[in-house]
Order: sequence, then structure tokens, then C-alpha cells
Amino acid sequence: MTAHLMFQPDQARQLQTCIHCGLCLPSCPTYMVTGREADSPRGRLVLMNSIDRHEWSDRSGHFVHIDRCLGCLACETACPSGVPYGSLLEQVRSFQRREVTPLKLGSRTILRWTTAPVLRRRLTRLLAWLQKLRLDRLAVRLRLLPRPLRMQLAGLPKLPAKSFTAAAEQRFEPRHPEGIHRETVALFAGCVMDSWFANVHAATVRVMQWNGYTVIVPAGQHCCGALHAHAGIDTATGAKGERVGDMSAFSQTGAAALIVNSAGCGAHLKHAAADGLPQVVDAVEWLVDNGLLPPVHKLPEKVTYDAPCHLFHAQKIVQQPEALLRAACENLIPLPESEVCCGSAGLYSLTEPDLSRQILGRKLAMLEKVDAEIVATANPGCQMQIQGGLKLDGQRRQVRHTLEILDAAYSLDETYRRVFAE
Amino acid sequence: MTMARTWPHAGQPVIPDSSGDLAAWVQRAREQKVSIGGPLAEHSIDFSALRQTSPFNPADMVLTTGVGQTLDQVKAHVAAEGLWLPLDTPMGGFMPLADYLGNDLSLSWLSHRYGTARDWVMGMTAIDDSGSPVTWGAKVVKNVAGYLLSPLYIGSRHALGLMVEVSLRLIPLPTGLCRVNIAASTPEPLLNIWRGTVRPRSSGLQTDPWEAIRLKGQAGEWQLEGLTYAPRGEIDGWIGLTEGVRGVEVTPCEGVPNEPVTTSQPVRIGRFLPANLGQAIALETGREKELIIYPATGAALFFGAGASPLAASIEASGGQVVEAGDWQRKSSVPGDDTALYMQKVKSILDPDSIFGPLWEAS
Amino acid sequence: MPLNDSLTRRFRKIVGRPNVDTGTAELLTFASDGLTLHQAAPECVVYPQSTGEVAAIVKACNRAGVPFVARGAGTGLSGGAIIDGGVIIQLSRMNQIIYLSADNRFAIVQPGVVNSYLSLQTRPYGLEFAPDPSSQAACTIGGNVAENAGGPHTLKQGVTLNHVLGQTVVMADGQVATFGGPYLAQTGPSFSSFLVGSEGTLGITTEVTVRLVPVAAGITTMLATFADPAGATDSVTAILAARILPSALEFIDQLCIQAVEAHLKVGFPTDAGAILLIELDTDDERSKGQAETIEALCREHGAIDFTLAQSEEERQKLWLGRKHVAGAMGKISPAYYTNDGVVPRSRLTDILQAVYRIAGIHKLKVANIAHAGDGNIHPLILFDPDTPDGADRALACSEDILAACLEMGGSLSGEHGIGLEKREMMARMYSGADLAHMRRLRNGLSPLGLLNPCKLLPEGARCGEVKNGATLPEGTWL
Repeated sequence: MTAHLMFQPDQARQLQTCIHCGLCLPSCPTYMVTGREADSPRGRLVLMNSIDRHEWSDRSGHFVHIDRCLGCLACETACPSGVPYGSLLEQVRSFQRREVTPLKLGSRTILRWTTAPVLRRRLTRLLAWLQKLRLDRLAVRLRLLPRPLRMQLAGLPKLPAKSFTAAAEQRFEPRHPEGIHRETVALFAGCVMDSWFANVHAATVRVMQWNGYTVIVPAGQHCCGALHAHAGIDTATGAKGERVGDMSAFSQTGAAALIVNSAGCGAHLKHAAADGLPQVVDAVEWLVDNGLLPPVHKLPEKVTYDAPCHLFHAQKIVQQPEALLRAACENLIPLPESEVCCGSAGLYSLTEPDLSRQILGRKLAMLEKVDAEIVATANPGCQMQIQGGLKLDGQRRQVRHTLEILDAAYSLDETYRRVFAE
Repeated sequence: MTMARTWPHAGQPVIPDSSGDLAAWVQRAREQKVSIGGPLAEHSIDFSALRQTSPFNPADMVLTTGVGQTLDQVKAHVAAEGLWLPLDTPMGGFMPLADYLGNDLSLSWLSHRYGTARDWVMGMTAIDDSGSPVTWGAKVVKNVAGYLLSPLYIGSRHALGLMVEVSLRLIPLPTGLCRVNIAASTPEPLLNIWRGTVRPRSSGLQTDPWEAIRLKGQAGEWQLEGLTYAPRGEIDGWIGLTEGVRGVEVTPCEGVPNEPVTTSQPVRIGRFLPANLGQAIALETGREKELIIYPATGAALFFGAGASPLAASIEASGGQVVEAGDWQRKSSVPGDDTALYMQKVKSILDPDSIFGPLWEAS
Repeated sequence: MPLNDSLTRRFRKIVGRPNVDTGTAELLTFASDGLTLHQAAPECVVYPQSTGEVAAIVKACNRAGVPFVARGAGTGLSGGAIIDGGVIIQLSRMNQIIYLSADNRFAIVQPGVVNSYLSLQTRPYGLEFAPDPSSQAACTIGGNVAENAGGPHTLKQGVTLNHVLGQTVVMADGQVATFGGPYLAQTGPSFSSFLVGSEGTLGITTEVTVRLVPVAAGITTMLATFADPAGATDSVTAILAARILPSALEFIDQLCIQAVEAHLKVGFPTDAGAILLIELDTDDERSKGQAETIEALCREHGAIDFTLAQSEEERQKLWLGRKHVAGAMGKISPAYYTNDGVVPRSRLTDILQAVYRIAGIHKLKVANIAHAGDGNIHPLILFDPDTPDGADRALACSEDILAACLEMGGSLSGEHGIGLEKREMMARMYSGADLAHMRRLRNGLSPLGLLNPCKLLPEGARCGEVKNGATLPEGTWL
């Protein structure tokens, strides 16, 4: 038998659990677009095996198809034999980055500027300034930038003045008027979420408080490293002061759960979090599984839900978002192919712009068929990708985080508004 | 032992007493350059003596039988074991299977649910142009091993080869069916009733309560006839307040009754899309002495050769009207190459035309 | 051996540069379909999007004397969609539903439409495409037509053959032909029906007119548990003898149950010797009576438990379990081979005993599922591909099982097709004259022998010649 190039014996055995049945094919967004076996999970597993057996060369094209994988893990949902595709993919990408092709400069730069604290602060300031002068709209309208960047710019939320986390730990006590008191949880703020989606964090904290939870937001948090892992970058070798993947801020909190409201981070942390941390739970999962206080009034707007892959496929959180939205919205309209990737997938929209655009196109076509004013989702990448796509497509719909929608539904009640007006 | 025999007089059929005998006749035909079997061959064949039925285990739900058995005999034989061959014909089931299958007379009031002969023949043995028996398919209810040639042989009137034995898929004989007969003096109310039964219900489901159905017009009298499991109350509900209904008969059945036999041979078959039926039939003025329409399958049997408003309407809406038993006129229908490729198959399987031509040269 | 450059250039002209693959990695992924025992990579993959493109590709292959095969999702289990060298015509991009007529109950679809996607699109009209192979979430209609696919619910509804009304086909010589039409009851010879199940050896289907049937208005799903597999198979015979034709009647044995439960937890009893999954396509008074009869018969034949699915969710779960049996094998064995034999229904108990006995002789584990109502067995023969004779032993075991099926009056294949690995067995099912008759028809319709060579019929030496393109006279122009 040939020696394995990159897989451990147990991983090689996991690869063998693929019985080549092909049930994953129709679930794969890249296969949907190209119809090419090499762009399907089954094809990629064949390629991984072939790489592992030293059968590749610089010109053989194996890694082209590995690069094209979104890592959405829809194939894991479809797979009847439980092939752990995601972990095999990360192993291959890590090998690729080490031995074959380092991550491209553009991707490295973007990773750095979005996840390293100091650089991110500068980027945020620059973008906020652009938004203030409405230069972002101009850039989008005049097509001053390449399309992928324009789309990101168009999909950017209105940037808050400051990030959500502060220099010191913050603690939010329960705020339900009937004095409901439940566990203490810690909120993971993340990188992009912390700087650009502070509103989502604020909404998350409010609904947690209203549901009787104490929320602590520790200071000194760092990027979880999900983007790095998906790109095959070893987080330990990050630049000075980056401390990617350092979760030590949570080890002493004594919280019942580490609440994550970004699907990508949640999936990564559930998979990779070190011992000694509170149990990692998605915010929606936590709220619904522990009994959600239903809003008194429901939002009248027509809402549809696009499932983030790292919630649906990676974390298998399928029922809870729908249950939550049904409690919060009068008109929840099912979105066909809701569980199919939108083409955001971390850096994918920048590294594989053509495929990403085609995959997004399918999503936008589905959205166009659905009569909804608001699209709910639960991941910053998806939110920006879909919002940007909708804007460039001329569809006037808002993309919101599921918890923002719950917060808005609670806010229809006067007591809720009064409690949090203080 | 096959005895050496001489060819019968013109107009008289060859009557083989076994498949081996038939094979010998084919060999003789080849040697003596005489054509046999096909629709235009010098000698036709009377298959009625090929009645050999293989041992039959009802639990297998497959019957293998010689093609000399008539359709009625086969159905009665399996009904005794609680089984059913869901094929029928308005021409009467007294003809041997060889003729029933060879001419494919299987369009019937069962067709909308149970299809036609090609759906129930699992395997076949035929005598090929060299006089050897050849078999395809299997004697089980499900099989995909090898090419299934029966769909080519069924309806090709013994011009590709001479079928001697068939294996038929069976299903349990239905119990508790009712026979329904609704009469009216015009077709419209009956069409409305039929449409009401197959229209999507509030549940969004398109149902179909008919095991068998046909619409028959004769001498200004129209009847919707069929078989259903629906109870009397439900049947009354279909009819409701439909105007123009003259009478309703609902009779519980023992087993499954055959489709009523027509008074004469149909001359033409019309095919059209069921959704076009209303506009087509509205033009029918009763000039056909007899008319049978299978509403769900979009097939109509015409009994007159002259001009018919319905036939004209069918052709005008893109349907086909062909002479009954003369499927090859399909070749005149744009967009169907079956006839062309059947001719090709004929030249492959019977290059020396032992069975005579497939059809008359046009 | 690299494909001749002018042919590749011709393909690029026909379908455009991005729709022709010749790279090592791309070709490697086409080396097998759902049957991994056979590995053979093509030299080129072409992705047409229309009937015209397929016809042009086929004509180009004919001129160059290069063998070719059509492929859909590659879920087939008889190696029918692979080719050793030559060209794969990949139809996954021809995946549009061209026309749907709910009133007339038919649809015209391209061959790359996924089976379950078609039903998903027609269900809002109360209609569905009845054949439901276990791979229906991925397999394509084109493949269903080529293999005459079955599935659990074909017991009552019939197989693909019974649901195809017409086809547009690119014949072996590149001529485009249309057979049949949208009419629900067709009589007379049918070239379309003849092509169903011909394993893509006579033509490439580029449009299919399928019949749609009403979705059952109500469903009764039952789970019968047996300590002894023979009790389950005897019950199958008894149910059919009681004149009840369920819409599905599935047998699942202990090893399958345990593999599924270890992985999915659908609620199969893990201590059972075997279970039957029985379904009626009604839930009215009549079906209540039938369900009671079925229960009584099962108990009479030793059922230790009998339950009715109480909700649609529960029903879906049971079927999920059934459809994932094969997949779950990946969890308990690094490889397996699926046998597809058929026996007369009355011999079901006998053949299952024979299967266990034969597996024992070969010292192999076998997990049994069966479309029991059809007498169509699917022993999953588990083996280790890393031992030198692993695959050979599995194949030998399967051959013995098929020989037993034939001895009982059955068939080599109920729904997977003959393809590559069973073609030499054909001589055990049919006489030389039978095979010569089929061969004659194939040679007549595909005279150059370039279309999906080496499949379905025993080939002997002939196959190797075609592979090298040596049977063609120089400069053949078609």
C-alpha cells in the first residue's frame, strides 16, 4: 500500500466510508452550477484520495477543484454514510497551504484587515467615512471597483460608531418585568461581528435579558479563526498581536454557555474549542431549546429565512430558527432551496468570484420568486453577500439577523421598549 | 413429430399444432421462398392451437402461456386463483393472445390506470426468421436483463417474428368494485361529471377514483361507464345537480366485468390531449353511429369511415387520427419516427422478408 | 493514449471551450459510477446542452472511430456509465423541465433532471413521477430510462418502462429521432418502450415525455417486526395471496437495521431478525380493513410487533431509514457489492436462505434488503477492498447468488442493469440463439459498436478491439 501523503490512517479510513453513491451531488452548489463531477463532493473525495496517494502534479488540476469547494457542508447533510467531509477538506487545504500554493496575497490581506484588531479598526474607520460621504454608493453605482468588492461594499451594514466590546468586561442583568431569572451566559463577540454588526450583538443581549438570562461580554476577545481554518491557514502562525483563536477570555467566566450568534464562528468553535470553555451554543439554538418567551405582537412584515450553511449543515440547527421566526413573524414565507449556500463562504466570493456570482444568482432568483420584504439569516458573511446581491440586482429587500427580527418583534410591545429605553 | 405438410390453399391459414411445428413451417417458408405470418404474407397463421400453459404458481403472480389462449380464457384462468390481468378490449376478448397482442387491441377503459399490453408483458418467446425459438425478458414480475423486444413485437402483426409464448404480469383481482353507468342525451354533462372527479381537490391533490372509464355515444344517447371503489353516496356527490343527467345505475360487481363489446369494428382511432376533449366533442353532432371515448387517455374509437367533425377537430388541435390496427400511418404524423425505425428493425430481424412486408409500400 | 487533438478541437467548436474537459483531475473523477469495482477513466468529457449538440458530438465520435457513452449523475450500480478511454457525454447540464401539462398528466424533461426534483416540481399539481429508486435524490431521468429504474413503489405503480410515453433520441449514428408522444394510452409497436432499459447502448435520450400519476390522497405505513427473516418473507407471500397489492413491500434484515440505527436512529428495532415496511396508498375504510388483514397475516407468520406510522414525520423517518440502508453500509464495511437478483415471488424465503448459506460458504458478511413484493433481492455483500482477493470473492459470492436466482426461475437483474460485471452471466440466463437475436439487433442499430461498448451482452474479445478504435476502416465518414 502507498504511504499517505497527508491523511492520518483514521482519516484515510474515513475517506473510505464514501461509497460513491452520488447522493451528495444535487446538494452541492458548485455541482449545481457546473455539472462537473470534479466540482462535486464525491469527485473531490476522489481527488483527495488521489492527492493522498501522490498522484497529483502542478498541472494535474487537482487543487483547482479543491479551491472551488465552498465548504458549505451540504454534502454532509446529504451523505448516507456520514463521511466527515468538512474535516477532510480542512486537512487537504492545510496541506495545500503548506506544500503547494500559499494563500494568495489578496486573501491574506483581507483576512488580516478583517481579523487583526488594529487593522480592522482602521478599515472600519475608512469604511465608515466612505459611508458618511456616500462614496460607497458612488463606487457601487459608477462601478469603480471590481464586482466582488462592489458587492461587499453594497452589502455592508451601516457601520456603528464603535465596536460592541469595551475595554472592560460588560455584564447585562435580566430585564424581564416579571423577574424571570435564568442562567448566566457569555457572548462571543468575534471580529467582523464586533466591529460591523454591533447592532446584532445589542439585539442579542436585549432578547437574552428579556428571556431572563444574565449576559457577560468579556473584554480581550479575539477572532475565533474560522476563516483561517477554512482557508487552510494555521492560526498559530498569525502575525504579531493577532492571537487568532485565543479564547482564553472565556475560561474564567463560569457561564453556563458560550453564546455565538454568527453561524460560521459557532460551527468552528463547536468543532475546535479547547477544554475549559463553557459549552458553545448558537444563540437561536439556546433561546429556543430552553423555552423562548413568545413576543406579544408579531411583526407584520413578510419574512423569509435563508439558512446559513454553518448553522444548517455544520451545526444541524434546522428547526430552531424557523420556530423562533414563526413566533416572531405573522408572515413567514418558506424560501425554496433555503439550505443551499449563497456563495459567500468566507473569502470565497473574492477568491472564486465567477462561481460565487453564479451561486448567488440562483439564490437571488429564488428570493425573487418569494414575496418577502425581509430576509432573515444568521451569519455576517451571508448577510453581506445576500444584501449586496439584492442591491446590485435591484431587489428592495432588507437582510436581517434572526435575532434582530426577534428584537423588533419584542419591541412592538410597549413594556419591552420602556425597559430598554433606559 | 412434425409431419411434412403442404401449404394450405390461398386464403386459408397455416394451423401449427405446437411451437415446434410453427418453427418447422418457418423453415419451410425460408426454403421455399414463401412468406408467412405477417399482415401481407402469402400465408396467415391460426395460432389457436398453441395453448400450452406452463405450470402456474399463483403466488408468483406471473402466467406463462401459449399465445393460442384467448384473452378471456387467460383472465378466467387467473381469476380462479384470485388474480387479474388488467387488460381489456372493446372488441371482445375471444381472440387468441397472438392476435390481441399482434394487432395490439389493448386500448380499453382500463388503459388510463393500467396502460396497454406493453405494460404487462414481461417476456416472450418467438420464432425468428431462421425458424429458431428466441426468448427475451423473464418469467418474473421485475426484470431488466437484456433487451426487451416485446414492445417492438406487440402491434407489429407478426412481421418481425412469430410470438408463441408470453409471460404476463398479474395483480390481485380487485374486490368491492362498483359498476357505474350515467346516462344523458348530450355529452357535456357527462364530461362535466368526469372532470369534477379528477379535478384537484381542496387538499391540492389530483385524485382519480376511476379504475375504468369510458364515454360512449350511440344514436344520440350518451353514457359515462366505469368501475370504481367509491361508495354510492360519493358517486351521487359527483353527479350532484348536474343538469341533463337522465339516469344513474350503480351495481356492485363480482370480480371485474369486461368492457362492453362494441356492435361493430372501429374503423379509426383518434388520439388527442384530454384537456382538448371539451372543444373537440362539442363539435360531434352524432354523425358517428357509435363512438367510444376514453376521456383520461385522450383516445377515441370511430366506427364510421366518412367525415367526422370530431375527427376533424382532433386533427385540427394537433392530435392524430389513424386507421384502427394500422399504426404505421403514424409515419405520416410529423415528429414520430417509430415507423421509420420499425422498418429498420424489420430489415435487421427479417432481412429476407420471411414474414412478408411490414406494411404496403406507399 | 491521448485523444486525437482534432476530435477535441471539434468538441470545443460544438459546445465551447469550457464545456470540454481533458484534464487529469477531471477525468479521474469519471473513472467509476455507483459501482466502484470497475475503474476506467475516459479521455475526454463533453458537456452538451441541447439535442443538437449531442448529435454533433456523436457524429464526431463516429467519424473519429472513438467510443462514447452518455452519463447522468453516475449513480448506476452496474458500471453502465464508464468507458475505458473514449468520450463521456455528460448530460448533467441538460436539466430543464421543458414542459409540464398537469391537465394532461405528462411532462417533457431533459435527461439530466434529477428524479426527485421532477416530483418536487409536479407535486403542487397533485402529480408525481412514480419510479422512486433509492438514489432518487441524485439519479437522473435519463439514467432511469436507460436502466429501466425501479424502486419500492414500483410494486404497484410499475417501473420506468410503464411511465415513459415518448423520447427524443440521438441514435448511435448521430441521427435524431422522436418516438411516441404525450398520449397516455399508446398501442402498437413502441420503439420508445424498447429503448427503455437498453442501458444506453442503442441511443442517447435527450428528451423524455414522462407520465405523471396522482399523488396518493392518503397513505398507511406499517412496520412489522419478525424474530426470524423467514417469517417476514412468508408474510409477503401471504399478503399477496390475500389479494392485497400494497404500494410498497420492503424487507430489511438485522444487519441493515443495526447499521441504519447506529447512524440515523429512525426507530427500527435493532433486536429484530428482519422487518417489513408495508405501505398502502390509501387511508380510507378499505385500507383499514386491508391493514387489519396484513397485521393478522404477519402475526400468523410470527411477527412479534406490528405498528402503524402515526404521523407523516414518522412515515418519512421510516422511509429515510430504508433509503439510507446502502449508505449506512459505509459505516460498517469499507466496501460492498450490491446484488440485484430476482426470483419468482413464491421463492423469496428460499432465496434468502440460499443467500445466507452462500455468503457463509464464501466467508463473507451479507446484509439483505429486498423489494420483497417484487421478488427483487438486494444482498449487500460486504468486503475489504484492501485484501488482495476481496473484490473477487464478493463477485464470486454474487455470481453464486445469481445462479441460485436463475435456478429458481428468476433473473440476473431487477433494476440495476447488466452493465459490465454481469454480462458474462447473460449466457446462463439466455440461450445462444436468444443472445444472438439481441446481438443482431444491437449490431444493426449500432453498426460501428462505438456506443457504450462492452455493456449488457457478453462481448468476449470484441470489446478490446473497439476500445482501441481498431474495428474502423481508415477514414470512415458518416
